[in-house]
Amino acid sequence: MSSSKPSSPSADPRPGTRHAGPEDLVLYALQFLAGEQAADLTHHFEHCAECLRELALVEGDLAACAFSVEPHSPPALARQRLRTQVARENRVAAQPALAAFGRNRSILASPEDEAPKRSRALTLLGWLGWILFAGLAVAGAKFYQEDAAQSARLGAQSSELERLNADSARAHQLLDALTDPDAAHVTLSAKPPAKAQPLGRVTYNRANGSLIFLADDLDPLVTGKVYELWLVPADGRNPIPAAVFHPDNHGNASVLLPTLPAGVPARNFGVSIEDEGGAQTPTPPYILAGSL
Amino acid sequence: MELQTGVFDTAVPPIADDAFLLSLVQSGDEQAVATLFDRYSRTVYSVALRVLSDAASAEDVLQEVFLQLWRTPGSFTTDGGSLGGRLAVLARNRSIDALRRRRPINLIDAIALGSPSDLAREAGRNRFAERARKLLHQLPSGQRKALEMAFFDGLTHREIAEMTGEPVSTVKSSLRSALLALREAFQP
Repeated sequence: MSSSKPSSPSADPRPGTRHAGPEDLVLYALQFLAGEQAADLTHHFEHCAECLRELALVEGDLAACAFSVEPHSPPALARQRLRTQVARENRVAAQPALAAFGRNRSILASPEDEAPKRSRALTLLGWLGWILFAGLAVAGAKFYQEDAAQSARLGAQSSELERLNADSARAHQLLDALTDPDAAHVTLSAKPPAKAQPLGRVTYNRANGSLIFLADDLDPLVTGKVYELWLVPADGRNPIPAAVFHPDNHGNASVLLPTLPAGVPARNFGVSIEDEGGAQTPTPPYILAGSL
Repeated sequence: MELQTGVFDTAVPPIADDAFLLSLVQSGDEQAVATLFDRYSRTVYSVALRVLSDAASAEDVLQEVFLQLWRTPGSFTTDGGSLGGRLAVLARNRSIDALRRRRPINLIDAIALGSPSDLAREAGRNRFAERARKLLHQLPSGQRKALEMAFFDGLTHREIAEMTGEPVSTVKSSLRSALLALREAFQP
């Protein structure tokens, strides 16, 4: 920016021919110029080494500014993420090259077209044969190496898939046991209660918003009515509808992993009776309620 | 499996300079781009995080910057310029694009640092960063504020003028003066 020439705009009115003013250089480097103004300067930089040097200095100043940030380490997996993508793109890029290699080979396999230069062509072909062989040997070794690695990776992925399948089967079994209408639900207590009262249990993980609700001894509802479960946030926000549900013939009900926002601190949970389809605000009173 | 493409398997210079690594990247050497990632990812991520204030978005910018390096290494070759500086400024520009949800702007860039710092070495980068932080804090408050608003918050000179109540010409002048002060301080 200290150079005199770029700091004194030329009188030439043609677009792209005017030297960049020092402040425009800064705005250009900060990407604050747009449209015609930016296009004119870009065009000018392509032809004016002096202004380009000035721009480089300004960008160097900005780089110094960038380096002034407080340092933070990137997430540990970021490196592997990049390497995976790079490897994928490298493999894709390698394929056309191999295809071209195949095409060259097919051209070399037609020597009869070169009959007048047969002896020289044969010598050349002999050498090319060795070169081709060497190339194929290198490529073969590389493919073998990659194949072995692919097999190892496939093996690891198969094991992982088996583990996930086993986990999934177990989770399904657990859910089936909880939700099967024929499953018996027994509440154990010190003394048998005189009359079974409705009882609900909520398991709630605030961090990821996962919720499991199980209830026993709920009264049957008249047609057109449903039970609705509510999460009452601790921060004073309105109750959040978690799910509507019907009890089975034994008065048992469950709500498993309804869609809830993550990170909501809960103060209370409640169950109300609403019209079919549910409500956006609970209708008092809660027939079941519990606080954390 | 990490593909080894040869050059690094046989001869690894103690500290490969950026130009050498860039030439390897140009020939498709995956290890070379990983080495440059190890060298500059902290700077790139820190700049993106400073602009975006969001770890996930900053990591996206980090990936974007190094994938650009991988895909178009030729555009990063500079005659004596600084690759670290180029990546840091690119991280800022891509972060501002993300902040404003706009398409990346492709302008000419040719970077030179006003200091002979050896950014290829971690100690050199740390020294340079420490000095840049110190110098930025020593700038007159108006200049520093304008520079931070423009560089890290992506506010244009007009937006800064609106927010601070200063004339646009004063903001432009402050930005230029701040950068000149940084340059002069880094002069040997």
